[in-house]
Amino acid sequence: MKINNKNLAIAALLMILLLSFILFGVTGFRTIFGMFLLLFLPIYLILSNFKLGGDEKIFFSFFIGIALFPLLVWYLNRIVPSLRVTILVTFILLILIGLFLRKRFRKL
Amino acid sequence: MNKKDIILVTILFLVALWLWTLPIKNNPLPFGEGDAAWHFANGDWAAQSDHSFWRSPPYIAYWYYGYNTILGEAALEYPPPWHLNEGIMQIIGGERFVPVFIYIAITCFLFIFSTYFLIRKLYGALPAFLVGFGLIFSLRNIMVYLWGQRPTTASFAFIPIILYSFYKYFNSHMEGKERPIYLYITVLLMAGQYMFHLMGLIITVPVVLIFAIFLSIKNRKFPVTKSNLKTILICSFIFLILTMPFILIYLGGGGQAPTSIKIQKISSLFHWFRHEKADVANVYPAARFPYSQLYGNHLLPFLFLGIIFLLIRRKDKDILLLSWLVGMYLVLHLDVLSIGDTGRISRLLVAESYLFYSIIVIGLVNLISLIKLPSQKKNYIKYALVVLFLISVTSIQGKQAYSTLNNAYQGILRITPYQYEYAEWIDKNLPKDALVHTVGPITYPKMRFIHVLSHRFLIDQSRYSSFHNHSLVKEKNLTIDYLLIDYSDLIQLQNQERFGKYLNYTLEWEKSLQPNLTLIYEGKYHRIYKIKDNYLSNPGDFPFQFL
Repeated sequence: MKINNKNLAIAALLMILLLSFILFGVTGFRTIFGMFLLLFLPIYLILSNFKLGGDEKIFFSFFIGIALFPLLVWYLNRIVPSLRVTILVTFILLILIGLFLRKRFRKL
Repeated sequence: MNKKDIILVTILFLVALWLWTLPIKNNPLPFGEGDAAWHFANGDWAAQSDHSFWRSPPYIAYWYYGYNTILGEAALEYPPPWHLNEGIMQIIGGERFVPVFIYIAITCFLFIFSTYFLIRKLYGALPAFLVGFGLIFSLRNIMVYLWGQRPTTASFAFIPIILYSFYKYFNSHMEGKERPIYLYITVLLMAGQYMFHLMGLIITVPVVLIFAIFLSIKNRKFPVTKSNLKTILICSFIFLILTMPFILIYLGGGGQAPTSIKIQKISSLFHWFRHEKADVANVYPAARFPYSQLYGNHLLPFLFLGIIFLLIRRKDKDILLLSWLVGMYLVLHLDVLSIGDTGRISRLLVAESYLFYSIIVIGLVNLISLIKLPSQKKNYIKYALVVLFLISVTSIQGKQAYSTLNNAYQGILRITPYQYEYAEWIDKNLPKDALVHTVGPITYPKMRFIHVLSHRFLIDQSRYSSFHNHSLVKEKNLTIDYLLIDYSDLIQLQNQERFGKYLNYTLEWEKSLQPNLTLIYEGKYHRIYKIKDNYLSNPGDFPFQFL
């Protein structure tokens, strides 16, 4: 079976999740998966619409996401009364922006 | 990203995650110095109250400044992202400590991956892996992570990735094939760095400017032209929009801008970083580590070799690293112009290891190119050197790092389950604005973690007088209404004369205060009282100082 980069990246993520589970149980798994889901994925979907290298998208996404996701949460939480709900709203909003950009714009 | 990169990054991440989370694996209760407790407090409160905040609760607000001269009382003291992430981690991890400390470990070792990325893109996978591997065990970074200046450490991690994106943009501009996306990415990353901590930008900005100047001179092309002026203006606007709302936090936060430039400590210009012990005492213990301990005497010659290589070759990527070196040197000597004090400036040394390890590895892998040999033999020697590097780093720095992390804040040097239990009782039962005079916990950080976990302002014995003299306390007429006496640490240490004496004194002192106290909660080793009339004990009477 030929292993492509995408499959290898998924395997790598699974290995990291497995280690976090071995070290800290469900809490570790939830934390690492949550970081991937909230702090990385939405910005990655947005950056996917631009002409950048695959590795550039991955690294830029995490570093931008880790700072700008909570910033957006903080602003939205001025309006939305619950932090938990705001996290969800921010996540959905960023995913929608990523999908919108994918649909609307050609690669820059 | 090719297969090799995925494998190498995964290996680095797995090793770093395992190693850097050892302190929380061994004991899931929070650790660190006083700063660590304060940083933990901000995210903890957001998650526990299910709301991020602009005005801090009293137990956080009164801790340091208490009053921002522009934004008013209890305003935020940092931009929210780093702390709010802690709260987000509590929520997604479903637990109060472990998710936060996994997040803290990851943000504190992020520099390994940003440096890997920079070196990978500029010099290839092998040097990048070696740099990343060396950095996993970087003791200065580990110590700062353990002590608690964590947002600063995380902010420095942005430096290499910002340098990379700016390098890509500026190169494309110099070549006339402009890629504005890299400049947009650069400003987003710089804004992110600012959001984590202002200190990171103090290094990034001069390095970026120096690189732009050097490359402009090399290419004889002005960095700002008609073609990129619009992009630069848009980027500046984006940066200001993102950062300006929080600039007042720093401007009104109690720091003082230098009023005049005075030249001093000229002799320090002849050193990479020179400090007197007194300059860094109580500010930043990492500055005390000798370079032989941080990099090993066997690796330091490669640093000089690497610098020589960069100076001789001077490709654009080499100029980037040289700019970083020059920029670091300049910011480490800001105190010569009386901008910042040496103690504060010494914190910038956290970012030194990324640069030094990068140059060390460049020195190492290029050493072989000096020798005239057939390419196959050169390859053998190269890989032999690589193996030697990995073995030496693992056996010297690795061993030291493992033992430091594995033994960090053991036993009663960390808040105990017993103390956490009564902290939760305080949280549930005392009024939100209660001020609690606290006697017993043996270290200042422990006291602060009990303070944070109980969501109440605890005043320890050593700060009792200064608390009463604080202008805010006088202005608001704050009074201390509760007394917490915790013997749990002292009982364990009573065989040591100093603590035995303190234990006996405290028992007597507690007895003498009885007419003034009403017991409201009693545990096996602690009691909490409501104070009938406000009292002021003389802290000098206590034969006790924190460990």
